[in-house]
Amino acid sequence: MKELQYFEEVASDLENREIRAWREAGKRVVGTVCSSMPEEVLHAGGLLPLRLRAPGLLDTASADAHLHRINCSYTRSVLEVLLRGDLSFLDGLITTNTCDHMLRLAGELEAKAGFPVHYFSMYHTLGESSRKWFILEMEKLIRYIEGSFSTKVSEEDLRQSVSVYNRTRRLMAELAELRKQDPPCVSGAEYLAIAVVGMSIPRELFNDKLEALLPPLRERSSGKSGQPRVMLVGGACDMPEFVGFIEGKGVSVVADGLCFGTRHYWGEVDENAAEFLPAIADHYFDRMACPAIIDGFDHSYGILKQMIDDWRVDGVISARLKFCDHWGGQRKMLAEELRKESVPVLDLEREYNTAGSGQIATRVQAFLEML
Amino acid sequence: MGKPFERTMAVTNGMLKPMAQLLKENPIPPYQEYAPLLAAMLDHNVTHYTDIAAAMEDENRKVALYEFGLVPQLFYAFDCAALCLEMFPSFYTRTDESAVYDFLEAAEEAGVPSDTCSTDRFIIGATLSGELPTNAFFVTSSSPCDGTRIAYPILQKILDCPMLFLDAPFRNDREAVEYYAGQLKDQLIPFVEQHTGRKFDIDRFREVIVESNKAYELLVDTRETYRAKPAPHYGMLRSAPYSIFMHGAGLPETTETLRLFCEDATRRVREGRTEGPFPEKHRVMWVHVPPTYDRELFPWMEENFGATLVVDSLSSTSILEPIDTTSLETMLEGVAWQGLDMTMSFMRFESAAFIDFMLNAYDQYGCDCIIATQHVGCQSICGARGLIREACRKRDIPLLFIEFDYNDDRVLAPEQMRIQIEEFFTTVME
Repeated sequence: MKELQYFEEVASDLENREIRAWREAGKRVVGTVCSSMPEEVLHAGGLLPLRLRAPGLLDTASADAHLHRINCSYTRSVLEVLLRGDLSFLDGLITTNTCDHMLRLAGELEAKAGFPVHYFSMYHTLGESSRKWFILEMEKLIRYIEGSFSTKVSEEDLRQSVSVYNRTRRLMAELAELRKQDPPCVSGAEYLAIAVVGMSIPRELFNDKLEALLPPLRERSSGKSGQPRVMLVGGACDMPEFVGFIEGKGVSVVADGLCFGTRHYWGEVDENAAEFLPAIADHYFDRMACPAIIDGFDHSYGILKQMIDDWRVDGVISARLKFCDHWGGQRKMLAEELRKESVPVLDLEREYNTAGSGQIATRVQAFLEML
Repeated sequence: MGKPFERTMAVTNGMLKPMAQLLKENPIPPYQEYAPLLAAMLDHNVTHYTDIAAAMEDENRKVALYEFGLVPQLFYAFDCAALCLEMFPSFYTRTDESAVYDFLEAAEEAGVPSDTCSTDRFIIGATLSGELPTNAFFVTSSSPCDGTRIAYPILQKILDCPMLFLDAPFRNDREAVEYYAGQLKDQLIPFVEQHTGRKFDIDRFREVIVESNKAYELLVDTRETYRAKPAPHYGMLRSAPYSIFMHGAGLPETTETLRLFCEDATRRVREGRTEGPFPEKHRVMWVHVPPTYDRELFPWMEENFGATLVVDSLSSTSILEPIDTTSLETMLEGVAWQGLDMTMSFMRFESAAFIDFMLNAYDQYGCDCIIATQHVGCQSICGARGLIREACRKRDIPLLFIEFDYNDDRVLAPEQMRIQIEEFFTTVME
């Protein structure tokens, strides 16, 4: 489909054409590494938050000499991109401690980036105290933005940014609705390509592009009806090719719990809030929690289960990155809950930048037969 | 499935008690001078585990099962018995490695990935095998690591038991301490009140803190003697005072056990007889966890290479003030700070801060080399490898990395570890 080509092309390149145009206009780009980073705050400072990925990267030889083979391949890939000089277009970087892989990646990035790096201390529980901590960290982030980029972030700036980001969330929700149809108007691979573009170009531009894309998508007829409908969950999956590989086996990926996918765009910030940082915090605490949140499982499971029902999911594929403890634990708990509901779960292990393998293909096919 | 805590008490009564007695009656050369200290450490362990078993049967008490981002004083103020679950595996690695295998396998059979930290697999496996104490509640924090953050939610699902989750801040500054202390006040105290049926008594808490301050000062004074060259006490005893403090901070028997260590060490320094059976040639800093299943490793290093373990990153890098007993807030801040910086929770530090602490201790204790273990389930220490190596190169510090599993000797056999250490001391350090 012609309208989708733009998203597929932009998704395949980290320093994409829109980033280059943004920089040529004298504007600044700041890298982020986690979905829980409040992008609205960076946007309010006039920055373009770019979720770091490593499309097309085939090996991590240099990064492996710094991080360890038991660190996940996402963090090693991001470090590899930095060490190769491919992040030199960034004006700043926000690191965090969502997991141990991220924490040690933060140390490496700080030591080697060569541009201003800010460490954002992430919460790991969903209580009132951690909500306050998150607000404090957002205040520190604003001070970093103001100090490093000679700008001011006002309450009005936050309000406008929240409005822009909520528009994205509403459009992405509309896009996700199209996945409810049989056959879905948008494949899982196409959805993921669109989702990562949202984290990779100026948000206002993305909103316009997506708004223009939705009508032709609604009119579109694609795919086969009656295929098994699956949900994909797991960590750091930003490769449409991986989803396409699974779909190539005769399945429709109609929903996901990915932090590069639906989870990132879930819910909205209260635009009528008296103060925006608490409202932003409420939003991040209300959406499906990352498995790094130690008391977040029941909350996340409630959302996932509702999605399974609403999108008429037949089975769940859990694609854990190797050495990711959080998704290892999440998968175990998820499988036990879903067993009670008679929803089958396929447990896959993958490396960040591998689209698929013979072993994964065999296991997906066996799973489909079971479905 | 056995009775809860049955296997642990069998080891306690069948091995630790007789070993302590044997050491008192027949000290083993060439370390016979230190036998009273080893025996005191074993006696302290016996008392500790016996108290947990007693609390299981006592309807007026509870067992606090807590995670290694906390210290136990608050639990003792509620007259709980307390077991730090992250220190539980090393009880078995030192005494009965077959139990470790059993518990690891139980966890893996239940679907916990085999690349998860063996400490957390052990805890889950021990739970599934019914070994954890009953009549208990759980308290965990979000540090130090990913393994912890998955182990406790899984435990909660398995046991359907009372569990409190605290958020450990991944910063090490004043704000972080206040944040954590606030959770101790607003969440931990009401939680323990609810599950023990007792009202919090600030005077009792202050008594426990005063007692733990005495123990802490003895701990710091003992560590201070390790600066002497040669260092008093041999490597196997090095982390014992720390371990005793962590198990029993706030209990009088802990203070008395630490007093023995402190008095012995300071007397040796005062009298100029700190040398052990083998001359001290190298002063080793050990970064991250040692192989607790190989009790003979440190004596072997001393005998063969004159390499004495002087300091380790877990027990010796954080030096804090005694806890201020002025008010509830100051006491909770002190407890929070100890929980955040004195435990494995210090692994939450950003890499640069972690390395600063490490190098500071290296200098303070006059070390001449570093052995840094890379526990294969710990993405945090493994991920710090590159920056540790760069920092050591910059300072020209000889450094040996060893990949192994802290609890499972099947990953790297003790003999294989010794080959690496031998090569290091006979090449790099010669």
